[in-house]
Amino acid sequence: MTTAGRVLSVLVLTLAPVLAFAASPAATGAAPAPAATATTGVKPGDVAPDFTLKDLDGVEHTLSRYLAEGKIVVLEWFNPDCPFIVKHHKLHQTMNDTYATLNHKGMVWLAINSGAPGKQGAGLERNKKAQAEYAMPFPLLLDEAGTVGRDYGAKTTPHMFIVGKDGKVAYTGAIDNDNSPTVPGKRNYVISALRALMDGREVPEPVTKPYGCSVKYAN
Amino acid sequence: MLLPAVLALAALTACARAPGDGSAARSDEAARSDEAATIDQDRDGLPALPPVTMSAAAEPGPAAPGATLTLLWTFRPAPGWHLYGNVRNDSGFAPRQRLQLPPGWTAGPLLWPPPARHLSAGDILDHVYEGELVLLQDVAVPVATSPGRVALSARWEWLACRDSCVPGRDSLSVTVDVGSAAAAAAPSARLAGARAKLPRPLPAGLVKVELDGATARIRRTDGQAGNLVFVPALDCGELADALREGAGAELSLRLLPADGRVGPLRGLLLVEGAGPGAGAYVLDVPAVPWTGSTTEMTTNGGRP
Repeated sequence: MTTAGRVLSVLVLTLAPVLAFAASPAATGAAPAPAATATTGVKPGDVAPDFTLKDLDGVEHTLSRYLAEGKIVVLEWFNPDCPFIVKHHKLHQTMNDTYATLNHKGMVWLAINSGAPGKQGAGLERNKKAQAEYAMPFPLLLDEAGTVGRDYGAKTTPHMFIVGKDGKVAYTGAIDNDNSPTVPGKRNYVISALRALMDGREVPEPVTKPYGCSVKYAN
Repeated sequence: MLLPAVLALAALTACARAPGDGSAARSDEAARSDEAATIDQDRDGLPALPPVTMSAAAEPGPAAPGATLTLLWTFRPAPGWHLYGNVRNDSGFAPRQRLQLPPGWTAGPLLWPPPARHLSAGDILDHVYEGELVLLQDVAVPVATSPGRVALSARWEWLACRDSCVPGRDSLSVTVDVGSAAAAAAPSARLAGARAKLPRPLPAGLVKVELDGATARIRRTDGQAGNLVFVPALDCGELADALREGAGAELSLRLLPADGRVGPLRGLLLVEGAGPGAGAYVLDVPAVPWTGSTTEMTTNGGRP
């Protein structure tokens, strides 16, 4: 580039004498020291972390086995009592409808609850009841230790991840484009991403901002 | 929404809650009622308050045509509950408003006090309000307004969370008496207090903000100890790790270059601890072109 000057982009907003600048670690309080690692979680293009989790009937589900069968895998972070899950599973049938639309094309959908025991929406009984009430046509897996949720960087319920047949993360983000707790979005990002993957096209928007309640991990 | 405020004078007479609309606990939607019923049971079985109640007021009163009045939208979360700031958060959403004004009336943007950093297990970073939240909003009374009572109303929607989350909504109306200008009244303690909390422009000599390559370095230069907290605005450039880098005695915030540029670094800087500089400030470092790697930038950077 011609712009050596541009490269020297040191921008000083406020220049001031640095005299008795106290950088005492004791003053940092709750703030951890800046770490070299980026925020945890996966982004599109990353190899999807493998996992094995049990559903509510005790049946194990392993990501790599589904991939070996040539499936595309959709992960939905779930908490039956989060208003945004209620929006998409009860007020509207967003999740069930999305699944039904493309299920015949070799897709697996796994709902995952990473809520720790004692937290809102956690536990076998509550989730069994929810699975029946919401007529969920796909497995609901419990991740009470939160390991899988943390591996993926699941922040909200819902938070959607799509793993392509190549085992790589193809999409992370919201189910749709309306973060209201009641109004469904006009654009379903997961359907768009799945259609692209199934047609061998590039996913148009591989990252969107997820919305919802925080995942209720163990402290 | 960013309409300029016009100077003026105005008046409030009453604040009325529209009937039939209420917070989540009073919602007519079955699912929401179920949710609220589940959550609003305190552990000792006593009936709980709705997580958030709202009220509205306007100052000063009465209002003269051509004046500006200030609306005060007050949220009162029950103890333990929080509301979300209108900034970049991992979860939740900030209270949102649908304002209804008479023809010709214009309103300025909502003015937000600084929210507090809030970390949850699982690397979840939010910025929230605990305790009473007052949002201010300037409204211009048109010069041609006829004397009489005018209702200004708004529908609100929010998400309140504690261990769990409950959406809420309310419709509020403020009746303003438009008439002859009264003697200028002093703002109420509530209004003065809310104004005092609003973020201010960054004064000279308090902190040094340096964009060194793709890393923004921020440190205090007023000789006082105390944490700095960066609260990213919704339109801030992407940050590599706001959770770990957003608070400390000094900050090194890595920005993720995108589309050939770095930044902008836009948001609030909270200066904590001692000294007259403690407070909340607006930080707005424009985006700069990005042509290289961090290493090159660091090598070339560092001179004033």
